[in-house]
Amino acid sequence: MSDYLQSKNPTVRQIEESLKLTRNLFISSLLYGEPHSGKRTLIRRIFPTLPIVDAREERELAQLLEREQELIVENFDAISSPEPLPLEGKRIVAIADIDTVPERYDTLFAFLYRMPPLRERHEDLPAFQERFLEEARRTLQLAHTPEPGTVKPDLSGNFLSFRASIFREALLQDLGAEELERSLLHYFLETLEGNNAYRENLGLLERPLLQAGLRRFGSQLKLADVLGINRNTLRKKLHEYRID
Amino acid sequence: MNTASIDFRFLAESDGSPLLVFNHKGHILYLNDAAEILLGYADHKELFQIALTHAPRDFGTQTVMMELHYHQLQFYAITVAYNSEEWVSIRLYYRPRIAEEHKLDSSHLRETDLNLLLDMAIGFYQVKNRGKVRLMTDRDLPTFLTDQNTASRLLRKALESFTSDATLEISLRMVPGEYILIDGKRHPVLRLTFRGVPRRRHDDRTMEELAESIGAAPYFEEDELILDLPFIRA
Repeated sequence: MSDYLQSKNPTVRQIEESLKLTRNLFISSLLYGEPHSGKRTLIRRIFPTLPIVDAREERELAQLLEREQELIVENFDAISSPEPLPLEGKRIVAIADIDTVPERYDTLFAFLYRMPPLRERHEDLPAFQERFLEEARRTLQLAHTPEPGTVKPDLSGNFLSFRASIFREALLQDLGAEELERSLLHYFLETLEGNNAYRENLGLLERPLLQAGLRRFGSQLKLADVLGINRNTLRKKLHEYRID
Repeated sequence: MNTASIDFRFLAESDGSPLLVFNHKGHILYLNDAAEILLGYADHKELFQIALTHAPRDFGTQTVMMELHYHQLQFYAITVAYNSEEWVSIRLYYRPRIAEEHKLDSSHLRETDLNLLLDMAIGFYQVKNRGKVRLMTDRDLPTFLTDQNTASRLLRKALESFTSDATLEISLRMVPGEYILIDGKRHPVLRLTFRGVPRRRHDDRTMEELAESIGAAPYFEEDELILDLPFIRA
């Protein structure tokens, strides 16, 4: 997997190094943590040839545990009573999408590693952001990609929300006038109602227009000139939209 | 045959009871092999003080019944002897131990490099603890048979009992002359010593159970934990 991005986070590096050592040992390990924090990618990279079973498929899990000496068990937290499982004397790597482990897991596994969520791995964000922006440019056929500093990543759902937020932002920053119009058309078709819709929706154009103008030209004097409106009108609008 | 050809030094050296000879300042003039092991646990100054306290009034010997415990080394008596102002000797007598026989489930025994297990356990420990770990080991130690999963859990628990940012010292060595009896067979002892800040004791019972299931013997101290593992040849 040449496109694998090595984590720069010391905890993840330590987990990776420790798990690599288990390739020569018959012990059971658990990697747990919030969903989409990169557990499966890491495990598959370290154990590329190990068979994988989803713990939600109980019968298949039981059969494989009987037959195999080494196994990756995904969604281990889906097992309601894991105690009778024959994990001893095998090389088992289990993955669980939970951020704290039940006490009974302690008796099952030799080592239980907690994968830190992305919000605790700031050193990893720049490289992944760059990767996702490039992916977005290629996938969405964008003319240009936004500068990394202009994107506010959403880390609430780890890699899932992080990647989605970057794709969304990259697309938004690439829209031309025609696409913006189409987007607004779709929006109005879905939402237009009431008895003051004109004034209510005018802000969709005016607010970003004024914000961008101020950011780009700095002074209200220059902005009023560029917009071709009276300075008092501009000041009134800025006040109305609470833009400083 | 007369006694001139007898190598008394050899006899003293190979004697199972620790024997130390001090000069009048408490410096060690001689110690046998068993005393070398003892000094891994006991302070020689303390032993010198014991010798002075229990020395006979005049030249000669005096045997005193007294309990002395240095970790897992237990003694029930000492003999202090001197026939010169230049030296004094102390000999300690081991309390006989009932050979504790272990039973072992051999189905999970795998050929194991203990250094690899240790590296794993230390790596895991260092994910959560920023304290330094100093490991003194013999990297050329041959492989032996153990249940890797249980041994790993035991090592993890042992390390976790020292959770702290302070330095932890771990040493691993074979112990000459000691053995663990499993299913009627004697196995040499691999001694793992963890030494650091005061330990948390809440998992000692679990460690005892884990150790029992792999034929090992744990010794718990306030700031030290010793695991004697059976070196079952692969």
